[in-house]
Amino acid sequence: MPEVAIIGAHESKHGILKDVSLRELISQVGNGAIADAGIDRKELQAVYVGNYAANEFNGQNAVAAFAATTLGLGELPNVHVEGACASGGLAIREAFVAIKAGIYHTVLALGVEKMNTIEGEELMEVVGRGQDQDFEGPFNISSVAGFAMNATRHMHEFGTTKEHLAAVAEKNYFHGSLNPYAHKQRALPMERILKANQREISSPLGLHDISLVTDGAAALVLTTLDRAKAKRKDPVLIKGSGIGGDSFNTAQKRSSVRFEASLRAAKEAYAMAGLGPADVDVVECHDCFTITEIINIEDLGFVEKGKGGPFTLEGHTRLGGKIPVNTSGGLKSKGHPVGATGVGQVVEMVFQLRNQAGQRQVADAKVALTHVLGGPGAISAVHILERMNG
Amino acid sequence: MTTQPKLTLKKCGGCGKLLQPPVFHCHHCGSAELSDHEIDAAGEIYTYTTVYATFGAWGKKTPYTLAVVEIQEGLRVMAVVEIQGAATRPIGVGDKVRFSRYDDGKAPIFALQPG
Repeated sequence: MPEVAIIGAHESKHGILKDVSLRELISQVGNGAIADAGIDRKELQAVYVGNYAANEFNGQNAVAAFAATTLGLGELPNVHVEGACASGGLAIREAFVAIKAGIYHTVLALGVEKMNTIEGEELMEVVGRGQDQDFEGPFNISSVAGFAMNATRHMHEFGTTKEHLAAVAEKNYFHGSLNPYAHKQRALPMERILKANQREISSPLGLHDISLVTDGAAALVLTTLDRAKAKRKDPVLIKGSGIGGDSFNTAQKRSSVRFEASLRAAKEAYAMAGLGPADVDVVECHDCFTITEIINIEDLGFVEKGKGGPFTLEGHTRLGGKIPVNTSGGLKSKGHPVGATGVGQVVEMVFQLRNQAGQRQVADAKVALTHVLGGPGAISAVHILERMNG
Repeated sequence: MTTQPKLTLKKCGGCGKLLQPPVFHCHHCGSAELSDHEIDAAGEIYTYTTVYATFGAWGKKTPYTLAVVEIQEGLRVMAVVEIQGAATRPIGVGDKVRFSRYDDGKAPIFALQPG
């Protein structure tokens, strides 16, 4: 089976992009990635698109066909991949598998979400559809309430505090302030965050514990490693890929302090890569809420279960720390254009591994890990990337 | 004396396991022979959140407490927990609750038991 590498990476500005249509977002990032790869678009053989709810947000179904035609690739196989907030990571996984299996040699993996077309309760309701409508629908459970229950249990079992949660936000706002692509580019001091969080949305989570509602897109060109080396001196190898599931029924999960979907995905990715957490230099993980990042860094093996809060407060996941996490600013500050997020994470890690991350650069980053989580931890995808220097 | 309301689960006629409805085939053995199994559900709070804002019908009932209630080993259900009687009593993990009724025939409501 061939090895798979990334030769093209591009993302849009993330934010509230009222004047940029779904079509234009796709056109920007798809063409950007193709140009970055230095290939003729005729070399592409398939298009994989991660998108959560173009139907509800933009009145558009068959979004992969929409994207392919937008890019002048209408005759190619086009596949829509949806798994709530994991959609982008899942699209990369499908693209990876197709190349690994030898079906295609060069493909485009793209993620897009233009969600600031509705707001308030209507928006919450559409986001809420990423949960089981029989088991959780009757309670109108918002994604905030779902993860708030993870926070309550994590605090109960390990003594995690609201200050630990705020430390995640403070760090990610700081990282985001260094990212020209980020939705929010403004650092905030801890005192401001803690004060604003006193007004809870769903206990114990407040405003600054919740990721942003963002419009954005990102795209990658994946190809075989042999072809990649012929194209550029610094291809990024996808050394490991993993995907895992867990019950869509929150109450039926074994534990609220870990995401078994993440554990399963990480296990497969680390095994495929032949690497462990100690080998990773930089991480983008799914901080849909501050508590989620705390649980993620434990599940991904960077810190012992239960110690994610103190580890963050002590600065170990900050730029300059032991293991920088969410150098892009994460979902909290770079933003969370749902279907695009997983692809944007890999774009940021490609920037890191190519030494193109500007003020966010982690010195000599060689191995990166990305992680997405969809629904109430129902599906997760993890990718491990390695710098290849020509 | 009023009869204690019952929480309705499904019991598999094939392997005897309990399942949470809606369910049409047993997750374990695949049998379609599922019968109603009512239980006088007493349990404790595994985790919870006080919801201050949400959408839909429950959005008009905030603040309320959403919880995962553990009924027995390996069996938990999502529920709303109501505090009856005295005004505010802070809720906590481990608090004892008892099934009270279904809201709209779908959402289990549990009552916080005196501590």
